Amino acid sequence: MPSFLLNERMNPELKRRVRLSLKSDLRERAGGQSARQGHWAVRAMMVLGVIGLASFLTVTYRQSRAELARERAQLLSAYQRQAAVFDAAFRARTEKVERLLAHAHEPYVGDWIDPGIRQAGALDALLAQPLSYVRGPIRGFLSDAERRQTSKEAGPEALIRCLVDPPASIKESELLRHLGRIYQPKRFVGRFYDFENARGAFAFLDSGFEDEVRHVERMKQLLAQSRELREQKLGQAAEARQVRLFVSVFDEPKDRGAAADFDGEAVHYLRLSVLDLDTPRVWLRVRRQVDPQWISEKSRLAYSRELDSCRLAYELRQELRENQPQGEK
Amino acid sequence: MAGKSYPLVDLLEAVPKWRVDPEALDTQLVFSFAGSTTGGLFADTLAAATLPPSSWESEGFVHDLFVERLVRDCFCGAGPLVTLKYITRLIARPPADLATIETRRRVLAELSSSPHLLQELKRLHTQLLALKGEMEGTGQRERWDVHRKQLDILAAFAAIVRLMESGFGGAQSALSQLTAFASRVTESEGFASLVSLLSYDSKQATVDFRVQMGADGRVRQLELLRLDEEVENPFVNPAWRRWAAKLELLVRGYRFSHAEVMARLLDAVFEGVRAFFPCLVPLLGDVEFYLGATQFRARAEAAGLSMCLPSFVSSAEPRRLIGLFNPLLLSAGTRPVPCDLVTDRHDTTLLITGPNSGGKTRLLQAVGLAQLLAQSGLFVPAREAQLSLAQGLVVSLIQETYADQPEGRLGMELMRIRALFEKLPVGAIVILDELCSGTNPSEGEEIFELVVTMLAELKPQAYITTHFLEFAARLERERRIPGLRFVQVELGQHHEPTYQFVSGVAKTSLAHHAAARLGVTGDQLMALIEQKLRLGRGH
Repeated sequence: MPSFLLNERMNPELKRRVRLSLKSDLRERAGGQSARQGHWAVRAMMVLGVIGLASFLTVTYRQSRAELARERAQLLSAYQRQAAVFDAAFRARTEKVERLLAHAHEPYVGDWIDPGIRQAGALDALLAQPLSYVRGPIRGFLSDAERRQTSKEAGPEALIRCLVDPPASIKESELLRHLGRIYQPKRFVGRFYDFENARGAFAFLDSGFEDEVRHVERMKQLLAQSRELREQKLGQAAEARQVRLFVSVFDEPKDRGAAADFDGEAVHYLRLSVLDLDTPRVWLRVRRQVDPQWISEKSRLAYSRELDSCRLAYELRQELRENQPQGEK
Repeated sequence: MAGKSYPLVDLLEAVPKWRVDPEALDTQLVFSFAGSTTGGLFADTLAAATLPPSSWESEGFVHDLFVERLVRDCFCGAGPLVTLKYITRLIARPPADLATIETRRRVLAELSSSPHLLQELKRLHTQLLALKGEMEGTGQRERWDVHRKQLDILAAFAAIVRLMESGFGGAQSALSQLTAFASRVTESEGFASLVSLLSYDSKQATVDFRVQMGADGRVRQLELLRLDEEVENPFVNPAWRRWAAKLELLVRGYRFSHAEVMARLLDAVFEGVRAFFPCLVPLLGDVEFYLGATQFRARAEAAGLSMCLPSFVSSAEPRRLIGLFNPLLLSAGTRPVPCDLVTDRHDTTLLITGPNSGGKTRLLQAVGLAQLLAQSGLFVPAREAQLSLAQGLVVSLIQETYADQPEGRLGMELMRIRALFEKLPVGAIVILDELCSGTNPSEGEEIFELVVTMLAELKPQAYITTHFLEFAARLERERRIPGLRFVQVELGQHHEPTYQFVSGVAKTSLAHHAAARLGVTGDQLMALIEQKLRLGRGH
C-alpha cells in the first residue's frame, strides 16, 4: 500500500509499522476507540474537492501571471519605443531652454545682433525652421512653479507671428487686416513647438517608471501604469525634438503710474532673444519699448497688445534691413 | 500483540520472573501513551504484583514489628519512594529461595563496594521517575499536546536505555541485566527509528545566520548563511510530500494536520519499542528496593551505627548479633544504643528478663527486624551478624484491649497462645513479650512452663520476655527444659539499665524505680491527696 508517509530511507520494519498505523491507530489496536472520523468516501470527496479547487486556483494563478507578463512586455515595448526619441541631444536642448527661462529675471546684458542675421533673407530663413516660442512677464519666471505656469500660457502670439510673417506696413488698418490673416487656424501648422511638454516627458522618463513596470505584481497596478504612460503624451512631447531655434520675449514691468489698456498693454520694455539651441550662438538680443499710444481709441479697446506686438515685429525687421551690409538693400 | 514476548529485567530473583501480567500492563501502557489518563499506573501495578514464594506469613509479625513504618521512615531518602507498598510487601514476604536471597545480597554488596554503580542506579531511578511522570501525566498538556507528551515519553525511554548501556557495564550482580537489556534494545530497529524520530523532532534542519546590530541595539540586517536539512533521516520529507501526506491522512479519516502525520509516525515508532516498556514498571520497584536499602544503611551510618549483610549458618551454630540496634528508634529520631546478642546455637528458647523500660521489647523488635531484613536479602541493623534461616516468624508484642474482645485478659492470653501454635511452622522464630502476664503468677507460671516445654518440640528460635523472675531463676537452676537460654538486662552502678544484655536471670524488675520515675511512690501519692484536701477546705 503506497503512502506519502513512507520513503526509501525507511527501514522495511518501520514501513510496515507506519502502514499498520495508517490502518488503525495505537489506541484502536489496543481495543480502544479510534481517532479516525467520518466515512472514507466523504473524506475522499473532500480531498477531491480540495485538489480540484487547488488545481483551479493554480491554473487561474498561472494564467493571470502569464497575462501579466504579456501586458508587461507590451507596456515596456511601448514605453521603450516612445522613450527612444528622447535622446541626449533632445535632453540637452530641453535643459538649455529651462536654463534660459530660469535666468530671465537677471539684469539685461545689452543688445546683440548677429552679423549673420543681417544678411538679406537670413532672418526669414532662420524663422522658417521649426521653433519654440515663449513670452511672459519677467516676474512669471522667478520660481519653478511660476515658470511652469507661464510656459503653459505663453503660446505663440502676435509678435512671433508677425516676425515670421510680417505685415506690409504699420498702418493700423493694415495691421488689423494682417492680424486677421496670421490668426487663421491653419496658418502656422508645424512651425511652433512647446518645450514644456518635453521637460515634463524627461521628468517622467527619469522617474523610474520602467523599473516599476518590471516589478509590478498585479494587473491592476500594471493597467494604472499603462494609463499613466498614455497620459504623459510622449508622442506630442517628442515633436519638440526637431526644434533648433528658441525665441523668447520677456516683458519688463510697466512704469509705476503708467496707464494700461483693457488687455493689460501699457508702455513698457520687453526683451526679445533668438537663440540657437545646438550652439551657443545668439542670433538676436534686443530690448525695446512698446507704447500703445499710437493706436486709435477704437482698436485699443480690443487689440492694443496685438497691434503693439505686430508693429514691433515690423519695426525690428525694418531695423535689421536698414543695417544690412551695403549693396544688399 | 497476542503471543508476543516481552523482554524482562528482574533484579529481585535469581531466576527472572514476571511478577505482573506483561500483556495487561502493555495494554495499559499503550493507553497511557495514547493520552488516556492512567494516574497511579506504576504504583497500582506493583501493589498488585505477585511476590516470590515465601514460607513466611506476614500477618504473624508485620503489625507488631511496624514493618510499614520501618520502610516509610528508613527507606525513603530525599523524596518518598513511589513503590512504598510494593517494597513493604517484598520485605514482609522474604523469599523461600536462598538463591534469590543471595541475588539480592550480591546486588547490595556490589552497590556498597561501587559508589559509581550506586550513583548510576540513582540516575536510573530519576529517569524512571521521569518516564513514570510522562506516562501517568494527567494535566492539561496531555489534553492539548498529546504528541509532545509522546515525544517526551520516547525521549525518557531513550535516556533510560542509554543510561543502562553506559552506566552498568562493569556490574557482576543482577545489575548486569541492565546492560544486557539495553544492548538488546539499542540493537533493535525500533530503537534506531526512535532515535531518528527524536532527532527529526529536535533538529529537522540547522540554520546558520548572521545578525547585524545597530548602535541602538536593533537588528539592522539578518543574513541566512546556511540551511542544512537532515536528509539522511528517514522522517525528513520535502514540503510537497508533507502536504500530500496530510491529504492522504484526510482521506483515511484522520485530521488534516502536521500533528496527525506526527501521530502516525509516533504510533509506528512506539510500536517498534513497545515490547521493551512493560519491564520498566517492575524495574522501578526493584530499583527503589535497593536504593531504599542503601538509603537505610546511609541513614544509620549518619547516626554512627553500622549495618551489614549477615552470614547465614545452620541452626546448630552460634547466633551472633554484634552492635544490634532497633531501627524503629532510629526512625523516631532517637539514637538507639547498640547491643550484642550471642547464643551458642540458634534453635534455643531465650528467656529475657530485666527491669521495666530496660530495653527488652526493643530488643525483641530489633531481633525480629534483623531476621526479617536478613531473609529479604537486605542489610541488617547490626555491625556484624551471623544468623540461621528460619521458616517463619511469629511476633506477639502488642497486647491491646478491645471493647468487643470475647474474653478477659487471661482468656485473650490463652487465645493468643492457641493461635501461636496453630500458625507456627517447625523451625520458625517466635518472639513473645511478657508471656502469661495477665493472670496470677502461680497459674501464669504453670502455663508459661507448658508453653515453653511444648515450643521446644517445634525446634523454634524463640525469644520470650517475662517478669516471672523467680520462676525463670528456677528454670535456669533446674535445667529441666532442653534448649533454654537466659539473658538479662545489664544494670549500671546505680541500678539503671544499660540496654546491654548479659547471661543470666534478673533479680528484680526494679518496679519501684519505674514507679518513682512516673510519680507513683507512697509519698508522691500522699502529697497529691493532701493538696486536694486543702483545696476542698478552701471552698
